[in-house]
Order: sequence, then structure tokens, then C-alpha cells
Amino acid sequence: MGVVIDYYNKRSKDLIIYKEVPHENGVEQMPMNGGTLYNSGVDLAINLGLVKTNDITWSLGVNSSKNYNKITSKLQQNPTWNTARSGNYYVDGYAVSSFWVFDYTGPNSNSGQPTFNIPTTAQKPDGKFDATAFMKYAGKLNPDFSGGLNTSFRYKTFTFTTNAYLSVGAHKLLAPLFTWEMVNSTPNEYNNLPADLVNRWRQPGDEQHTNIPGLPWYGVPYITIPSGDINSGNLVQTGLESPYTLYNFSTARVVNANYLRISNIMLNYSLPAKMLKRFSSKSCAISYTMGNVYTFVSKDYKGIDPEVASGNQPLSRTHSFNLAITF
Amino acid sequence: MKKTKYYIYLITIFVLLISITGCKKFLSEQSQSELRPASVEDLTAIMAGDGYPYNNTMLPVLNLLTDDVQCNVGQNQTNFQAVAIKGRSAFTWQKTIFEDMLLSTGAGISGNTNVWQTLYKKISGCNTVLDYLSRVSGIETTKNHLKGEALAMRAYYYFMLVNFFGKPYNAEGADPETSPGVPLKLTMSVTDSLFHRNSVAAVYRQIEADLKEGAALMAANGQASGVYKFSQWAAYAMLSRVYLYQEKWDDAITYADKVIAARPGLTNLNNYKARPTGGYYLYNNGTADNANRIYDLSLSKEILWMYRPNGTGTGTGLDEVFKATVVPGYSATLNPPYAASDALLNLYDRAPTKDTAIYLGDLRSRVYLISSAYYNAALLAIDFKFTGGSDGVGGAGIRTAEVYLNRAEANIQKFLATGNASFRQAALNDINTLRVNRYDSRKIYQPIAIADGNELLIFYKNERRREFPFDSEHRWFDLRRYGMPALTHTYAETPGSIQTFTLAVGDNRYTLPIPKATLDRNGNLIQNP
Repeated sequence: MGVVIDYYNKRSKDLIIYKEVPHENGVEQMPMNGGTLYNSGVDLAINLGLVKTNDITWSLGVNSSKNYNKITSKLQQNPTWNTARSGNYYVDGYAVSSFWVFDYTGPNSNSGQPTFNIPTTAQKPDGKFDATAFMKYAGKLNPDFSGGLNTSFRYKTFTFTTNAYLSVGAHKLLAPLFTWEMVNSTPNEYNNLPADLVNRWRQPGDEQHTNIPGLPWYGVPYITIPSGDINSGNLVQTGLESPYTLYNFSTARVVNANYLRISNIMLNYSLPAKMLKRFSSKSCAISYTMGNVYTFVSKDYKGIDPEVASGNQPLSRTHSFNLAITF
Repeated sequence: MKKTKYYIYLITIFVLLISITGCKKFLSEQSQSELRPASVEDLTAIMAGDGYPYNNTMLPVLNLLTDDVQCNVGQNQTNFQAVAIKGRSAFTWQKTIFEDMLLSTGAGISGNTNVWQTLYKKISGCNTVLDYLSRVSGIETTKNHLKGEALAMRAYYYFMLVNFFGKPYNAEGADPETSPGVPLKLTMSVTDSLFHRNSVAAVYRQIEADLKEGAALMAANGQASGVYKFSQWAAYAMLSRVYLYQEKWDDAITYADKVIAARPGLTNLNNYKARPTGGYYLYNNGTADNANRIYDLSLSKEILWMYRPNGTGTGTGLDEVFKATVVPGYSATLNPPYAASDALLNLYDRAPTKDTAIYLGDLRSRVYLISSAYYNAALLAIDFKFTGGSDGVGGAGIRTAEVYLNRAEANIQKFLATGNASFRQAALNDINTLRVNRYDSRKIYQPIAIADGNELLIFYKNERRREFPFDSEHRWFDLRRYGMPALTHTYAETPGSIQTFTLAVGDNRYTLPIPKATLDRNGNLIQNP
């Protein structure tokens, strides 16, 4: 058995960061001494040799790392809802990568348009300068725990190896369901649309059994989101938004991002020395590797590959056969 | 032995000394690769690159919004439909106009269509020049003239911004002192503070002050530097326009007078004879002769200032929506996706329809608009499809023709207010002076003499429209200050899907929405309703 623990603690101050500045400056970014970063973490690796005989070896390895970082910044944040949903909004008492979304309350029974529970500034005065006041905490993008598992099993000259990766405790937003193309015209035939839209709201009454709003069109009335007034000096929100934009960043689109991915499986067989002699070879091995075997994910993904659901290309499953002979 | 040791010490010290002094220069706080302007020549170069609007994309959006443009049915041609989609968002006055046109795929126009960002970038160029001028070496008159140019250009950009994103100065029911304009950023320093929108009136006051100071500096330190650089005449012309927009008629006349006293010349369109063989090609400004335009330096004498917008012959910007050619070519049944509207073309006195005609009437529809020739089998003749702006030389700026029209408008308004016939006569004189330079001289020009003030105002508005089709920012800004009339656009991507869009009288969409990318960076900006 082997255990390796690494601990590190790093403090950087006056980091030069490129801060995005308002367009009125004529430039997009400016470099500045942005703040202090505390970075500490633990790397842990455990290797267990479970069985070790002449014919059989079985070992198991677990590795994990945990990183804590804290940014103390004097910079003024732009506290709009768009920042709050991005995971880059720092609020005391919330972990780094926390994000907030709009509280979705289902499709409107007459129009099928999404409705939300957004407190007004009268109910929550903080909404004038802090978007999180009228949004809902949705979790954090970074996982609580993530780590790798690997195991290797040998029987005589036959070896089996597999690697897996586990991530627990994170949440994320699915890729936007509604896109701008749908607003002004019917999508083109070569345009892929999410299968979720099949179950969308179509006529009054549908809201009983579906949570997915009807299709958008250019005349959809925009929703006013809380804002301060220009003279008070408060940081204010930017006016009106399409309910479909808000839907894309609402509670309906947040999923539990726990997953266990079996990254690969490898089978290897080396020919016994006796056989090798016949054709005067030093070694000969046949192996087969399957990559991206399977991923166990939360039900929220509805069977869609999690990579696809968050707007990326799916990881392709690979098979490879390998024959290595040395003379 | 002792001596060698001594030498070694000496050499070591010497090497150390060299390396230390060598480092000092390298480690000095000045950047080795970036320019720190030291002379007025450096600043002139900065002004040319970052202060003047060469090749930027402000106009595709503006030209699609007006009533001078129409969308022809997409005609079941993929290439035609692709062009239609590019302009759709602006043409149908969508709230997401900038977001849609900024997209890099699909409906986007290449280049930067975030007008807000583009204009503030240019303003920062002007501010840099202004802030550095006191710290550089050079001849005093050159410095002062450059200062005048930077001030006037900054005023021009703020004029564009406030008319893009603020309510019209004369909008009914809106007090310019309180209605939000755009933030005034008048120094070059970059800060992370979030700017507030200044009122429309405050922006106009800044524009006036900058133009006046700039004009005075340029007049006192006169250095003629060609039409691509601002001059006091261009600044006076802008002042007459700025006062016209504020309905300050007397001031508009004062500054128009200054320009016309010094630069009275107008371009006679009869000199635009590309093909002396006659017929349709005589004054035609088709793809073969597209150098033949009103901003052509070799032919046009009335340019006070001009710049080359993005999309003149480059295939980007304006060129992407107002295409001179699309495959398959234009024909009797295939019309340009976006073209000069029938309403606009019908305003021109287009007398001839035959190839052999010897009198062509108003030459402006031929010289100002791009037209693509095709053979019309039914008429057994060459016919034209007018596509509006784009292509060719030049394309935007300030011309003396505008100054005549500005003065005429102010005089008509004064005539309406006082009934004094001398104002009417002054206006008629200016309009006729312009028109005589625009009509085919093979017949004697018939001067107009309208007696009724309101009728004259309508005629004047049409004349201004005839004079500036797809030219700079005129038509959209004029519509805004004419009380924001109702407009209708018919959008048809495919023959079966004709959609009608309307802009109601005084519609909020006459004030464009601030691009979302800009709002996201500055929570203090209030979006337009």
C-alpha cells in the first residue's frame, strides 16, 4: 500500500488581470493590479496492492485533489443577472463558482410563454444593485469532490486495466433551448432542434402536463427585470429581457452534474515464452482498448449525452486493437 | 602571478559594469515596442488611423432602416435568400438588431456592427490626440489645426451616437434636458467606472462647443489638407445641421452662410459622362462605371469632407446587403434582395425609358444609385435594377449641397412662422441653385416656384430625400426629426412568406436599442424602451 499526500498553499498579491471595461472607454480591457489570490489544496493518491501471487496481481488506485481558492478583490463587479448566472460573481458566504438563475414557474396558460417568479424592487430593494436578490441560488459549477479510480488485474499473462473518473456535487446549466433563429422565422430544415421541443406547450391546457414553453415569435412581450434609477447612483440592471432568454437561464435548465465516467478499458495478453521461441521472438502482446466506455449521469439529462446537453460535441467511443511483436 | 589576479578582478568588475548599465536601458519603464507620441507628426498619424472613420461600418444598419429601401421577394434562390437574411433584423426593426447583426455565423454582417463600440473607439482616438497635444513638440499652428480636427471629429461622432441611441432633440413630448442621450467621455484615460447616460441636450451642448472651438482653431491655423481631413467649412456645415436638428433656424442660416460664402460651388452632374456613346449608359452608374459617383474627387467639387465607409468594393459591410451582383444575375424576374424602394425612385423625374432618349431629367437616380444592367427581352432593351448604396468610390461625408438645403429648410420654417415672402424666395433660390446642377442640361431647367409654405416644405423634404439616397446618415436621422412618421417594410424571404412590419408614428424603435454586449459591461446604462 502506498499513500502520497501533497499539500500546497500559495498566496499571490497584486495580480495583473485584464479587466473588461465599458465600451465608452474605446478599449475592451485594461490591465490592472487586481487583487489577492489565496490558493491552497491537497493532492491525494492511494495505491493498494490487494493480491500479489505468482499468477494473480490485483491493484487498486484512487487519486483525488481538492483545491480551495479565494479571491479578495477591490474591483467593482458588474452585478447584472448575466454575471450572476455565469459563475463569476463573488458573494461573501458563497463558494467560488456559485451561480444564480431565474425562478421558472411554468408556461403561461394562455400564451405558452415562460413565466417567472421575479421579486420586484419593492419586495426586495437589493435588486437595484444586486441581481442575486431576485434570482435563485442554483448551486456551484465546481464539484465538491472529483477524483480518478483505476484498477488493474493480472492473471498469468492476461491483464485487465480500467480507469474511471468521478465528480460529485456540481450543478450546471444545459445548453440554451431557444435560439434567436426561432424568433423571426421557422428554422431551416438543416437546423437541428432539441428533441425537448416535441413536448412543448401547444394549446391552453398543455401546461398541466408539460413544463416546456411554446415556441417564441418576434412579438413576444419582454419582461421587465428589477433595476435601480439612474440618479440614485445604484448599479442598475439593464432593463427588458425576452422571457425566452430568461428561460434559458432558469431553474428549468439547471441539472445535477454528478457523473461517473469510465474512461477506458484495456485488455492485454502476452504470449507465453514457450510459444515465442517457435518463431524466435522476444515478446509478443495483443491488446484491445475501448475509450469512453460509458458515463453514469443524473436523470436530469434525459438520456442525452452530458457533453451534448451542455452544448459540446459528444465524446466518441474508440476501439483500438494493438499487436506488438519484438524480435 | 599577483598581477594576473589583479587583471582578473579588473575584468570582472568591468564586465559587471557593462552588464548593469546595459540592463538599465532594457528595464526602463518605457515600452520597447509601443509608440509614445513625441511629435505632432506622431499625433497626426494617430488621428488619421484612430480618429478618422476610414473603412468603418456604421452605415449598413442605417441604410436598412429607412423608407428608401425595399426587400424584394427572395425568389427561391438560395443566394438571394442569404442576402435577405443578413439584413432582416435591421430591415424589420428588431429589438435585437445589433445582437443579430453581430453574429459571426448566419445572419451576421462581417466586421463590427456594434455601432456604440465603433464610435466610442473613434472618440477615444480623438481624446488621445487632444490629451497629448500639450506634451508633444511641433509647430504651434500645426498643433492647433490638429486640435481643431480632433474636436470637430469628436463632435461628429457624438452627433452620430446621440441620434442613434437618444430620442430626437425635437421629439414631441420628450424634454431633451431629461431624455437620456449617451455618456460623454472627454478624456483618454481608461477607467473601470460605469458611466451614466448624459441627457440629449447635454450631448448637443458638447457637440456645439466642440464644433465651434474646432472651427475657430482650424480657421485661425489654416492648413488645407484635402477632403479626407476635417476643415472649418465641414465644421460650419455640421453646425448648420446641428442647429437644424434643434430647430434653431437663425443659427442654422448663420453657419450655412459661412460655408456658402467661401465654398459656393456645386457639382454639375452633367459632367458625369462615362460613356459618350449615349443612351442608357450615358449617365448610368452601373458596375462598369462605378467610379462615377458624387463622392468622386476628380469630378465632384462640392465635397467638404468625406470618408470611405466599409463595404465599398470590398464585399463586406454595405456590400453584403446591397449587392451589385448576386449569382444568378439580376433579370426581369430576379430583383436585388434589398434595393432602392419604388417610393424613392418615383420621386425622381425619370423622363426617358428608351435607349435613344436625349433628355434624362433628374440625373441623380442614375449617378447616386448603383444600378445593374440586364437585357430585358420583353422590352428588347437594356434595363436596370437599382440597388442603392455600396460599391464605387467614396460614399459618405459632408457636401455643400446639404448646406444649401439646410439654409432652405430654415428659411421655409421662418416663412411659415412669419409669412415674410423674402424667406420663401431665399429658400426657392437655394433649391433651384441645387436642382439646376442636377438636371440634364440638354433641356433648359424649369425653376420651381411654389407659393404655399406647407407645400414647399413637403417639396423640400422630398428634395432632401432625392439628394441623399443611401448617403451617410441623412435619411434615417431626417425621418427622426420629421416627427418619426409611420413606416412599413415588407419582408419576403421566400415567395410564399410575405411578412409586413410597421413602425408606428413616434415608435420607440426610432431610437435604436443599445447593443447588449455594451450593456453587459456597464450596468449603469439604461436600455431604451
